[in-house]
Amino acid sequence: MTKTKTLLALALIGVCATASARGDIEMLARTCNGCHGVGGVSVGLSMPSIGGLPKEYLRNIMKQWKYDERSAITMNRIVKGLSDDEIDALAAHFAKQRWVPAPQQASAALLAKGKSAISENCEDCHGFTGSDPDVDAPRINGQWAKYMELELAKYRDPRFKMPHRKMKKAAQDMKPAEVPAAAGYFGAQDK
Amino acid sequence: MAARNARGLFAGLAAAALIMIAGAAAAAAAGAAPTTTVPTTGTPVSDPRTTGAGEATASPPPPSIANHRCLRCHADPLEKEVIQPDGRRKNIYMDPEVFKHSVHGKVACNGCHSDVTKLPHKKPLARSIGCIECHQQQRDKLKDDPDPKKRERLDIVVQQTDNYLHSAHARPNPKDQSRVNAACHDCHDAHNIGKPGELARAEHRLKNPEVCGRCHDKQKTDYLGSVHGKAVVEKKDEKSAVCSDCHTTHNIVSPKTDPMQMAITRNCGDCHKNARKTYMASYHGQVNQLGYANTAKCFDCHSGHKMQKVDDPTSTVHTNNRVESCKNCHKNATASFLAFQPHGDPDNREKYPGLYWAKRFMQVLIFGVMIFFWVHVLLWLYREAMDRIRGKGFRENLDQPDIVYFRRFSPVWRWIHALFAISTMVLILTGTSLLFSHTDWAKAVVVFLGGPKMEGIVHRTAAVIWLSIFLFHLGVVTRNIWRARKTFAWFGGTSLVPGLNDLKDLKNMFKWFLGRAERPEFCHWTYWQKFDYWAPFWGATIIGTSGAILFMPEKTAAILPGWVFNIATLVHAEEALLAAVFLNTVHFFNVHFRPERFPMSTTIFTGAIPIEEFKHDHRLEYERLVALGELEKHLVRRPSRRVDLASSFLASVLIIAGLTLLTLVLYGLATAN
Ligand code: HEC
Ligand code: HEC
Repeated sequence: MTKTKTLLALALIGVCATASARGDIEMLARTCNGCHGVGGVSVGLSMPSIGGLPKEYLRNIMKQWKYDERSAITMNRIVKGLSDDEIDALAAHFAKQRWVPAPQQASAALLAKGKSAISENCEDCHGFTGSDPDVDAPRINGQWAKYMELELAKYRDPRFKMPHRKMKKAAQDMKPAEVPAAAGYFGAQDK
Repeated sequence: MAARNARGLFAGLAAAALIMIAGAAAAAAAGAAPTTTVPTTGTPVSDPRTTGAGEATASPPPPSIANHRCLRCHADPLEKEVIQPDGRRKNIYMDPEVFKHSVHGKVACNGCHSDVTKLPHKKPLARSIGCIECHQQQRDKLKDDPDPKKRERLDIVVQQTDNYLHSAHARPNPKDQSRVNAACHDCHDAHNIGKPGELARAEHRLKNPEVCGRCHDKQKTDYLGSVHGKAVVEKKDEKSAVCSDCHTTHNIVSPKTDPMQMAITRNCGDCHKNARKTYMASYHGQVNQLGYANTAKCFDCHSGHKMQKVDDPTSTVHTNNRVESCKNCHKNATASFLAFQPHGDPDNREKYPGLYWAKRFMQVLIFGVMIFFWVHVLLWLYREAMDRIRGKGFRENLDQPDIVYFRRFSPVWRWIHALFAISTMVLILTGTSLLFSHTDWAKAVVVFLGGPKMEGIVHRTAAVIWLSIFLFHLGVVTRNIWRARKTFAWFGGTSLVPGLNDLKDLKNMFKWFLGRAERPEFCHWTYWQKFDYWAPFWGATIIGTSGAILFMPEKTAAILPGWVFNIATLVHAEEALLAAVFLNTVHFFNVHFRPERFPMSTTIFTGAIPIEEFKHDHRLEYERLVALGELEKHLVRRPSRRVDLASSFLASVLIIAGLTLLTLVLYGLATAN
């Protein structure tokens, strides 16, 4: 029995070895599902959706984490174990997925406040609903608001290493009360 | 030429000419319209400011995207460059301070970058900026504005864009026909366009060689080594010529075309005013001014982009190199060309004493002769008019018209006079169309003749005929005198040689003019007839000699030094002017227009003068012949009706032609600067 198991295992390894890199990436990407959801569509409040984000953006930030150019709470540790090639492949993989917004409920007052905050400071790079981002920015329509709030806090806090100067400045230009409003506004958008 | 100044003064005198002045004025009015369409250069930096005109451009279209939103990325000094999606680096930086002060400082970014309708915008952004359309619209908006000042600057902009559209730069690029050769933004830094008089303009000006040099590399290299280039680049001398000063800013077409070559030539003169003045007075310049580029232009001698000062040994006009430059056109140019002064200025005594004094001499001659004879004409007119009013003076008896005539001229003289008159008129026409090349009539004449080359041929042909007649006449005179050598009276009323009696006649004539004596009586030749003979005699010598020198310049230059051409050109023109004005005013009056003769005398064509008229004008001769019993020999019958008509017709044509020429010449004199 053990022998058969061993044989089977060997056979599997052989299959894996001959399997395409694509299969490898599928496997690797599956390790992300636990937190980011199937196909990068997250279900958790403080966990971001990553499926369908621009390839360049994904690759960029993962490399920044890997080389300690960017602060994170969890991801920097995960990314450290990946090679540059794996990062590239993962970025390509998730970029190919469909962006599935998760529009979240928000009060009309919050939405109104958020709308005025973002049209002053954020729209120019993210678009009116967050679905029309500038070349180097991710989509944020229907991104999880809680996550965005945390992320914005990082951009606003000078102790965090966040390399994008302009996004950082935009975040810092907000009044504290505008942060949840902006996050809530973008999180509520489905398109 | 010789007498720019003289012409001015002359023109003043001309105003006194009783004939044709109204015609000249009418012609002047007609000719006052702008004549050329070739542009001059753009407004130089030194131009006076046009106050407030810049604001006119700045009425912004409703801003859909506030500029500060664009400036977030485009005015970030720490990130001037971005990497475009296609991987190329691109400078997207724009200095907001600079922009704020440009004429467009109040215009919304997407007022020009109109395909940015939302942010973030597409990358890369297509360059689709409608400078031309927008300026047009802005100008149209101000069309009915009561304050034309607001529009002033925009009018210039629209004019310039229009010029641009007709320029070589607006044509499709031969290598890529989807592009033009150069668009507005290739030359203009639209974010930094200054108002006239502002620093931005001065900077733009100094940058001009660099901007043009982006495409015209070789020309730039040549230019940077020239006097102009060094002054601009090394000394930051904003007055020294940059590309657009010569080539114009917007109306640039290939410098191989005639209009462009002419525009460039004129533009040199915007700075080198005196050089242009003297050039335009030379044969080279006269032809140029007529609208032909086939004579030497500034850059033909001085070279264009590589221009150096004359004392620079690398200059094409340096003494060591100049003859070579002349040879570009004058294949057989010799060292004597060096003595020619292409910019000889007869008003500059220090530099060109020969020319200076030649001009003074000619002026004294011209003014002396013209003033004296115009006074003579006016007084004579006054006297005959007064006599007429009082019923005195000579009048044809209509009840008994003369049937007996006195034969005054043999056929040979009549032919000589007719041919001489016709060729003189042709010479005046073709000669003064060069001298007054600034006038429209001159341009029309030269076009009519088929260009300056044809004009030269016609002038020379007429000159050969004219001079041959003069020489032939000398022959006839010599023969006549020889035949009559035994009895020939050198002095006295039957000889054309002036004598003391002529002075006396003149004095008495003036007395008569003033009503202090009876009209003097004359023999065969009156003193004014003698003058009419000797004046052209002198003129033919002067014009003939100088004309012969100019006839074949390369041949004569092999023998004579170059400065002779300066003198010959001056003297030729001045003397010809004197002749043209004298013949068509004084001679016409003496012979045709004075009341006793008006409207014309045909004696020189029929050869015969009515006996009564002869008695009146030449009583002494009449009495002398009667006393000698020789009168009968000279009497002829009245010319036939046909001969009479034909000669009246010929006289009319010549008189009208002469008066027309006079009008043209007076107009030319009056409009010469
Ligand atoms: C243990 C949970 C966990 C796992 C497993 C995980 N992530 Fe994350 N991921 C996070 C958290 C938390 C964040 C928020 C950033 C931070 O605080 O680190 C994040 C953020 C990201 C972001 C940034 C999203 C954005 O919108 O900016 C990317 C990209 C990402 N993860 C990719 C991956 C990939 C690829 C994998 C699989 C190799 C993966 N993550 C696995 C927890 C996880
Ligand atoms: C100058 C353009 C710009 C402006 C303005 C801007 N952003 Fe961003 N934003 C970006 C870019 C680029 C990123 C990705 C940054 C990075 O790589 O770290 C980003 C990231 C974000 C993220 C993180 C998304 C993610 O998936 O991790 C959030 C949330 C966000 N922006 C919200 C805002 C809000 C709210 C404002 C207005 C206060 C704003 N942004 C203004 C360009 C901008």
